[in-house]
Amino acid sequence: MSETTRPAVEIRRLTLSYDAAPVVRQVDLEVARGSLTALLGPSGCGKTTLLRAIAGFERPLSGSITIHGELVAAVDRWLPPERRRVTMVFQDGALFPHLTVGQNVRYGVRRHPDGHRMVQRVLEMTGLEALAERYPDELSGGQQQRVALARALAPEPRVVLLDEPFAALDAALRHRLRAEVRAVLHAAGATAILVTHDQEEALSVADRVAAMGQGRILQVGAPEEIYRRPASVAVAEILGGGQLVPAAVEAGRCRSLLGQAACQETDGPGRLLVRAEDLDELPADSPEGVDATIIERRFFGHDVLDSVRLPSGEQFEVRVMSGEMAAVGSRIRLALRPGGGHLIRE
Amino acid sequence: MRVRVVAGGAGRRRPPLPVAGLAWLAAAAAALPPTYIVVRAAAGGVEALAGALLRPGNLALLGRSLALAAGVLVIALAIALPAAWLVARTDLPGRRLWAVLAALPLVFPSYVAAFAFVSVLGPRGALQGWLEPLGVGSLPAVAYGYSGACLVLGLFIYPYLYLLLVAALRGLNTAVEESSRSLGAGPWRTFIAVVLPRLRPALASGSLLVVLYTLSDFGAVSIVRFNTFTVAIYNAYSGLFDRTSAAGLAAVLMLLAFAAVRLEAAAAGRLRLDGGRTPRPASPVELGRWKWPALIGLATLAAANLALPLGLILFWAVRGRAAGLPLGSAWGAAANSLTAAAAAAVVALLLALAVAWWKERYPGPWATVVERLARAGYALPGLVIALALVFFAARWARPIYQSLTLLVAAYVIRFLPEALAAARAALAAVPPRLEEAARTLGRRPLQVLREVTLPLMRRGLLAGLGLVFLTSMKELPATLILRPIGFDTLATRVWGYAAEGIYSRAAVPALLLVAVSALPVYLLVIAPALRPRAAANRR
Repeated sequence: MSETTRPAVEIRRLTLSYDAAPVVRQVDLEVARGSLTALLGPSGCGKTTLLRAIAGFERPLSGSITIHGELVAAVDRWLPPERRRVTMVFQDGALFPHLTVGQNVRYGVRRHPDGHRMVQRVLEMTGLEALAERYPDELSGGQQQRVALARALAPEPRVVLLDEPFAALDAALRHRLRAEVRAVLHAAGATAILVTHDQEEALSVADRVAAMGQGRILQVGAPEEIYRRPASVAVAEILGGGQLVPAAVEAGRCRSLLGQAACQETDGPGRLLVRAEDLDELPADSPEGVDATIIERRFFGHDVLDSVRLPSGEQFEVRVMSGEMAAVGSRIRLALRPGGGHLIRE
Repeated sequence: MRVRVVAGGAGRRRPPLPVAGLAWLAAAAAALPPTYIVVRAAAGGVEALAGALLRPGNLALLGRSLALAAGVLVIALAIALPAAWLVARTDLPGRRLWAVLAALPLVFPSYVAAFAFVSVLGPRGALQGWLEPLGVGSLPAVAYGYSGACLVLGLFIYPYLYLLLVAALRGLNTAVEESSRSLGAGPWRTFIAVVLPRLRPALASGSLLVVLYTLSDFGAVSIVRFNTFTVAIYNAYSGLFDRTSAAGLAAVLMLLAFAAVRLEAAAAGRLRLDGGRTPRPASPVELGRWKWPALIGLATLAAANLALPLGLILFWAVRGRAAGLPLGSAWGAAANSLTAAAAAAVVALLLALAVAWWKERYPGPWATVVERLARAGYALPGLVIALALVFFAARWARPIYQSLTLLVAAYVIRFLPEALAAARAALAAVPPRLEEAARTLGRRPLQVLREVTLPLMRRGLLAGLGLVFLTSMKELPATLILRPIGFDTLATRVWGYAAEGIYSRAAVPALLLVAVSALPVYLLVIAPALRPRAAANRR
């Protein structure tokens, strides 16, 4: 492959450590140019460390990082952060408090012959032109993060790294800014890596999601694929919002305490991931499903989330459209919807 | 998630060698005096030391020092608590001006205050001079001894306590007091049961400052001729040349100071912060008719500890000029003061920066050890540091014995804790994230230092420099012991003439000292302490 067609970032068997304890182990990851990849995982899984290694703030114990075909980090090679053309948006923005918004954004393109135009472009994209003369302490939290993004994009970096950039904002602002940042990144044609512990954020913002746990990348895929078909219990747990039920496949039928359903899997034991939208409430006299009782209901308008209990004491959550549901306390038959549930084999 | 901080060079876990080297130098220098004074005291053998310490006079000495500390503390509390409450929580007319005026006596070093005091009330003082033609032969000696020392120190060092109390009173969440009132407690019960307990940390640390200052003061007590530990140590060292005795007494004084620190830690209790967010500004207590006694009280105070000393110094200076005293020698002393204090400020801040850098950016057990050691000079009387350095240099570092270097070293050790606080505050204005952001935007470590780190630290660094400079310039006992032969500073001039009762010669250097320190005291000590918290440290 030629330099210009190589992926934006190639990470090979990368191991990073603090004080001898490895925090990132044997990680492989490729990030395509122009894509937005989310590193999703719980606190302490090593995702921020991995991000800082790409930026040049951590040295690898082994393995390598290549950016646009240029080897930037390996055991015997380390390009300092300022020469990687990789910029970063920090959780708190990390704006220079002694510089105005305009000066902050200009900081990375000072010597660039086309610097002025580049600054104007990102200020326009982020809607910050009117604020260029303000100081960071005169801005709201959301404005500060927009400035941080503009500052990171201005030098037209090879990769933009975003380290939990929305974590410090309140919920409403977080939702709005996510959509905005995604649009700006796409408009700029930038390659971006976003670190987050919020699965909704990863799934809604990124083109690709890499689920991380205990220093390893467990699965990489499109958001829908990761959500629908987690490859392991660990990934299912990182994404959350479901229940794992012991199951067994026998002659094309998958059995569990939720009854049995046709499936394409080979014979053997496994665990069935069941989310609220995988289940359905059927009338008590239905031949499908198993007996259950509705014990609690949360109403969301267009749909409701029911808690149902099996005679054995197991509880499940079921999402049903409002209008077609049975009363709380009534007996129903609980069944998997066609194609619902995902079998995990380990 | 665990965040490790990488500053200058990425992937580094240990501080750069120059930083570690300077930090260890600071730690070693600061740890030297307390260690060596004990070593030196014990060097003559335990029996000799016991003989020197167990002299009958020494117990009385201990009693006098403790009695003085207690008396000064009572006076300081009696002034600081009402004054702080009046300016912080009432509708007193002109309370912002009074708030500054009540803190302003800090511009008078204790020996200048004592000089002004005895120069009016002493046997050769102004009052005597005015009354003599009227047939009054001799005034009662209130200016001297215990009463004089208590009054001078109490009247001039209560601001340390006062400033902490003002800040604490302003920081209290008034909703707690309103709850107390709504639960049926009257204003007095609310004050006793709800306000006072929350002032405890401020009262404890303010009292500690007052007690430490009193224990280590030499200038004022020697001028009013009240024999405390410091005076006895100085006499043993300079007059009798009894070094074992001086070292032994110094070690006891050091233990006394450390005991005060322990006591403060116990008295302050665990800091319990008020719940809730930023406290709402309190609606001021309406004084009504009580504002008149309050105003008269504050005005009397300002007359006694501001107008009177300043007026007297001016009076003696003018009399000296009229008598044709030359000014020239005062300029020489001023130049010496400036040189020594400036050198101390630069060195102290450089060392403090190294220690703070290590502690903030590469935290770990060694960083903590170094930082603790570097703060050893806190609570250590200047006299103890000076004696330790003299003994040490005479024995092990002959070339710097009686040199300016040794004097500057004493200042540095004594004021390193102040410099450290300033350096840490300055460094806290620069989160490592900012430096990392600059790196990703294409700057090399040295460029980051120049463009981001230093500009952001400038304010804090200047404040630290100013503070060490100011306190070094006022320092007396260490200067008396360590100055090279013939090296006079403003402080030694004032003290020397005032102790001998040659007031008109003491006046000009005193005036210079007050003039030079007035602005920095206001800008670096008083204004920050009185400023509302929210506005602190922006760009």
